[in-house]
Amino acid sequence: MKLEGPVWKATHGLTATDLVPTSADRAAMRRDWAECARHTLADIDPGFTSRVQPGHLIIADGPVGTGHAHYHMAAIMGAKTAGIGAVLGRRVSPLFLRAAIDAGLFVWAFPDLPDFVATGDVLSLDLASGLAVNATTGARMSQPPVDPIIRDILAAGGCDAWARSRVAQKSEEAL
Amino acid sequence: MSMAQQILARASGVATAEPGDILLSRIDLMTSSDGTTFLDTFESEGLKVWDPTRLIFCFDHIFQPEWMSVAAATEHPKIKRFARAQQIPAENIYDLGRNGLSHQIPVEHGWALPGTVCLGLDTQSATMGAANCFAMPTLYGTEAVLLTGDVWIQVPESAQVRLHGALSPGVSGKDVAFRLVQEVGERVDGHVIEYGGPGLASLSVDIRMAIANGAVQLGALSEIFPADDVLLDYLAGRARRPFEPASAGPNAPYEWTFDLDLGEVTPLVAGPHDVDLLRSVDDVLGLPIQVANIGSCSSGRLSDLAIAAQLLEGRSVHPSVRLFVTPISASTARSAAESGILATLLSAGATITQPGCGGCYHGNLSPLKLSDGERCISTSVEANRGRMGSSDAEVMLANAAVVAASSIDGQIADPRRYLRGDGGHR
Repeated sequence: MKLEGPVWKATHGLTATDLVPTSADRAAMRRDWAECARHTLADIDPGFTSRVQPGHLIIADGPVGTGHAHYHMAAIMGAKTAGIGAVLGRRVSPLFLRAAIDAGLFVWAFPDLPDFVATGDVLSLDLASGLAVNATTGARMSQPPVDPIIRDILAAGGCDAWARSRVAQKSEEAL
Repeated sequence: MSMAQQILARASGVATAEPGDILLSRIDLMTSSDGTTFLDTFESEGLKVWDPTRLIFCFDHIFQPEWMSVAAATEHPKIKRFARAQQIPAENIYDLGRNGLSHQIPVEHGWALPGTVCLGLDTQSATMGAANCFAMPTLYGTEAVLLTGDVWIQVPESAQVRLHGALSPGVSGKDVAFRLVQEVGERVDGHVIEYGGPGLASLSVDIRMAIANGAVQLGALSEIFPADDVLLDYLAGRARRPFEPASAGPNAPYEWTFDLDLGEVTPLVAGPHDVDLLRSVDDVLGLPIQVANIGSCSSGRLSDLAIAAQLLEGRSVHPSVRLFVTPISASTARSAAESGILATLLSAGATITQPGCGGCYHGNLSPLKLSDGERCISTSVEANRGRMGSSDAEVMLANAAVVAASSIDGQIADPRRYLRGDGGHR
């Protein structure tokens, strides 16, 4: 499984409410992810949503996903709906990471990756091998491979589809 | 290994579980509140729960916000129809008359057991860690867990809080949870908090649950208490299955250890609006209140009702205050009635509601709805604007003793004054 896209890099960590601010809270309570998407990074980079491209990679030079769990889904589904391919940081709050993977958004900790990229660079990342290539600078870097269970969940589009496929496979094997 | 590592390794069928490892762990229990999101999908797609004997439903929120009042009439019948279709045993449905909070019932009724993995729909599910299990909310992974009976987990790092001494009168588990936010909140960041130390023996299971309930605010993935004599005595006669406790090894790889003298914990007040705004009760004395609330997963247990009754005995709720009391479960309500606690609270002027989450959230079934300009002192878990009614109201959070004392005075009050005997005539 490979991710590829332009980088938007924060020079600091990103909380859930940095990704999608509390102004989208009511939209989140209604599960209006399209509206949450329109607020992505609104407090930090108000013009971001007019520039975001499918597969855009958000990389934080610090921790990702800290803050109250109440705001996690707005951030995750808002970012995913806006077309963000991944949100990566030096560390990630386990609660945020869990919710994101379950929703099918790749959120992960790569402690050294922020040193490798700048905003505007085009980055490709092979999750199975861990190979990161900065197509803009030509640099290559090895990252720890991502566990197959996580890759399977992401490939299925989230944990619900992943669970269904496992149950279906088990049924076929039983026949 | 830490307790978390031991439980997850065992549940995953592996010998070791290092922080960062991705495991697939079998779960022993899934507990659902009555605010479900998966019933329609299971029904429409003909999906089957992995093991209907290991899923329980607890009618606790009795959710009926103004914009969706139909939920009250449809959710409970829908759950019961689902249960019949899935062949979930009738005793697994904690309907009104047996109900309680979805992470209280599993501990009270012996479902959440030492050494097991217990998941819950509710965000506060880590509360069950008081029973020496690995407990966390499923959040958006509920359907997957119900289908497969397992959960993917990245083995978390653990940290230890060593407890010493004992709590002073008028101080509760909620204050310990608040104090930990102040002392270690900045470095918890998704760790599992494991408890130890000689002070544990002074803490009842009620208090432990109140402490573990603070996991979300603390930023912990979960919290685990050891299976000591206090817990084992509590579980005697309750446990539904044999169990094998988890205990931390002598070299458990804790990221850090924090020592807390329980005797130095004092009543703390959170809010308004921001639960992380924590102050000593001394700093907010005298703020007028119109509403007082004892209840919710943080503080509706028998010991909370008992301290409130102790303070209110022979006294009256201030005429400008409405005091609401919501027992955390039907069992707790019965025990409180049998011991005279409810009679004392009623005599003082409290309004006792049906067991459940109560007025913690304005969308629940409760007579507690804040109006513009009101201030409420509450034992519940959230204080954000609009949480309990008007967005122009203030919610401040404190322990049951502070709430009871404040309901007498009509303003935020220190319960220790009453407990020392210098708090005014009865």
